[in-house]
Amino acid sequence: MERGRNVTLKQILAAAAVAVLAALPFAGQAAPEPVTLAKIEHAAGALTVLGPDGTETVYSIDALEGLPTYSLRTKTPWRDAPATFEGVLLRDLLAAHGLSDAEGITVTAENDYRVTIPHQIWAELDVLIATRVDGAAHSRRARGPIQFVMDMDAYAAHGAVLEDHLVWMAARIEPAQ
Amino acid sequence: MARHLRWGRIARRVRDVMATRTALLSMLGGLIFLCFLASAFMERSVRQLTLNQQVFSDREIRNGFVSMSDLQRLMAVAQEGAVRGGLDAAGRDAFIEATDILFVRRDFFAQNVTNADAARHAEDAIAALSAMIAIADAAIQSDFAAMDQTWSALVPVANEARRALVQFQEVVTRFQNALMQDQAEAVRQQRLVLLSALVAVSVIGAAAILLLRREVMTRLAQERAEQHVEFLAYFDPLTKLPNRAQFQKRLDNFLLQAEPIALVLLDLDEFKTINDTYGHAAGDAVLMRVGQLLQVYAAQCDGFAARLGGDEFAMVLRTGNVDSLISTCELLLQEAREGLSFEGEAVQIGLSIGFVTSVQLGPDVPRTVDALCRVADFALYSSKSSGRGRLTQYNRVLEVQYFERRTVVDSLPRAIGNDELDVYLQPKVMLPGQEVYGFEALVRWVRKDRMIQPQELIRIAEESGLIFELDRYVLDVATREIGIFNRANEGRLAISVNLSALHFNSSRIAVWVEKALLASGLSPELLTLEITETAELRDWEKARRIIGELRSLGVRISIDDFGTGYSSLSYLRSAIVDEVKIDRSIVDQIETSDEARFLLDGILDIAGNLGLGVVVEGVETPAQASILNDMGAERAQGFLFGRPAPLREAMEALKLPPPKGRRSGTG
Repeated sequence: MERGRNVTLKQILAAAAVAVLAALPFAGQAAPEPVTLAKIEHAAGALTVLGPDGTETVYSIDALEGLPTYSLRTKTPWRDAPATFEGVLLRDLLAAHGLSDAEGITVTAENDYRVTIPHQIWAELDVLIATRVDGAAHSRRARGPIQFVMDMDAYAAHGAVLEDHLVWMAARIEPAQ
Repeated sequence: MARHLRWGRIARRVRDVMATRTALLSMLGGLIFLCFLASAFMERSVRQLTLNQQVFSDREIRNGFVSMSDLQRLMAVAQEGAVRGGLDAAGRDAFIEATDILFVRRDFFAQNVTNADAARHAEDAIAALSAMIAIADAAIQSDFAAMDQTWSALVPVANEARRALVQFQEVVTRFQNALMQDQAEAVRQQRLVLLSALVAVSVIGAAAILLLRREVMTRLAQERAEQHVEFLAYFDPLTKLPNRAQFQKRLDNFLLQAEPIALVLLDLDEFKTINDTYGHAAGDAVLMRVGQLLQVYAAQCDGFAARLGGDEFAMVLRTGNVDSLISTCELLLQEAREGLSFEGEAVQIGLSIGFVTSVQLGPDVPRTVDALCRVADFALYSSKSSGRGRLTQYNRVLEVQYFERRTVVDSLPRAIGNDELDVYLQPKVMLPGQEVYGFEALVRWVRKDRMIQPQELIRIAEESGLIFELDRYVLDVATREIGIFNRANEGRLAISVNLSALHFNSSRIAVWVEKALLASGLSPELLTLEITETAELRDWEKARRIIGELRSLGVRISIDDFGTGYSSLSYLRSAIVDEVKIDRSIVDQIETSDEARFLLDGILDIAGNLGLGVVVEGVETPAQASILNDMGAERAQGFLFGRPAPLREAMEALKLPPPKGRRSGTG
């Protein structure tokens, strides 16, 4: 009995140690939290997703918010003060189009900016496709209406992610060639 | 001197080791320094590259042309509005979107200007872009009322923005090119440093390996030398058997155990003869053969064999069984006798063996290495003195004999010094009249009322090295007394003195003879030196030289015991002797053996032809004297003519008329 309790204690301690160790690199990092969003008026904008089979889906911002929505409070490279961003996870959007296992995706912005994001980024980091900032619609002048955002601490700790991946005025997602 | 050399060697070795270590440490230090330099340089390069990468931000590079694109987007929509006189809903959205995009671009541009050279152009561009945004915002505010005016207002500002952007882009691109060149140069330098480091590391590594190799080789050689020294310290290099040191150590260990053991001592018979006859290589082969045999026999009895030095060997066996030991030793003797074939010649091997077992030891003999060796040595000595090639086991009688002999050896020098020895004379006569023409001087020693037998005395003296003093004593006494006698009686009596073959290793004997002649005043031709050839006289060239020196003094040289042992006809040919003395063994048979007569006849004939004198020894009967006379022998010696008698007595007898009975009664 004594022995059994010891083993259990050991297991608990070991599990705790593993948990602490595992959490260390992410200490201070915030994960997007699920949130329910009331309907609001958005700036004109749309996100087109090209599936692996070639089908194009055009999301209005309202339609995009039809996916599970999350909230994340963080700074961005262009904001000195933190803001609360709300929107959907890139991971969920890609899953909805069978792109979860794609090696990478190419994202195009309204200003014709293009970048390829490798699989590793959305697999390891919570990339939020933000459509709202501080409860209001995300304006273009604030790098909206559709902006890729992630927790700045997680961003800084990750070796592979670049500022280039934080696309603003995102307009199109397609599998990388 | 040797010690000085040894210290010199040690000091040199220490210097070598220190030099090697210093060199290795220096190389290691050099390597570390080189690695440090290379890594410092690489680190500096990497830092510079990182810095360049940061400065060479693509955002800044992109600023110019992306701003141009964003500017162009707005201008296109505005131009459309101006041309069409207004914008539809889609056009308005596009105008607003283009304005917003330009707004964000201007902000971004303003945040990402790091290049000082381009800053002025950036400021101009940002100002122009801000002016465009202001014009566009005004148009949006007025709900796109006058697009033609908006267009007209935008064109000069956009031109200004485009000019500033182009100039900005030029500067940034030049900077980009310079950075690229820096990067390329840094990579080239890295390559150079890397190659230099690799070459240096290779050279240092090769040198270090060579030094280490030398160190390892030196150590190996040292270890081998130490092993060899250790081997030499405990083994005989020729037979690979344990040497005396190891023998004593192991025998001591055997003795510590309570089990019975046997110590067998062995001597090679006539080993010097083997060396002299067949050469030292043959001698070595014989030693090795004996070593192998002993090893095999020793192993059978769970013991070991050792070479104690020269031709002395030993076996230590774990047995107390005398009978089995005897049969083992006899087998060994038999096997050794088979000898070996050396360069086609059969070389005989004779062994003399003496052994003792721990169970044979009396209570008064301590169980020590020394004591055991001493008693085994008695037995070995006994084997050698009873004719060699045999086996003797230790017993108490032997020990008594040994102690007697020791006492004789110990007291002989004093006996010589104190004139305790007697010189006897035996007459030598001319045939047929039997006139005494001289004597042979013989030494006698009566010790504690016991006469030591002449042969035993000579052997003891030869073995103990006292023969030189003994022979010189007889030489001095005999020549002195004969000299006195001759002067007193105006006679010319001759005297013969025996010399051991051992004298013929040194010219000292010639000096002694010369002194004896001077002291005695004896004519040299009246002195005959009788030599018996033995194995020791095999260094013939040296012996010839010394005999030559003696003859040059005018004395006569006679070969004793001719016809037996080692004597040979080569003496007759060599013309270095004046006389041969025919051994009694030939005379003994002269009445019965034709062969003996033929032999004697032959010797007399040859000696006569060569002008050598002949003395026949051991004549005991008138018949022998008569035969000899008939054969032409002129000189003789033997009991028939007189036994050895004390010096004075012998010479007194010469002055008296010879009594009849004395001559005939002493055969």
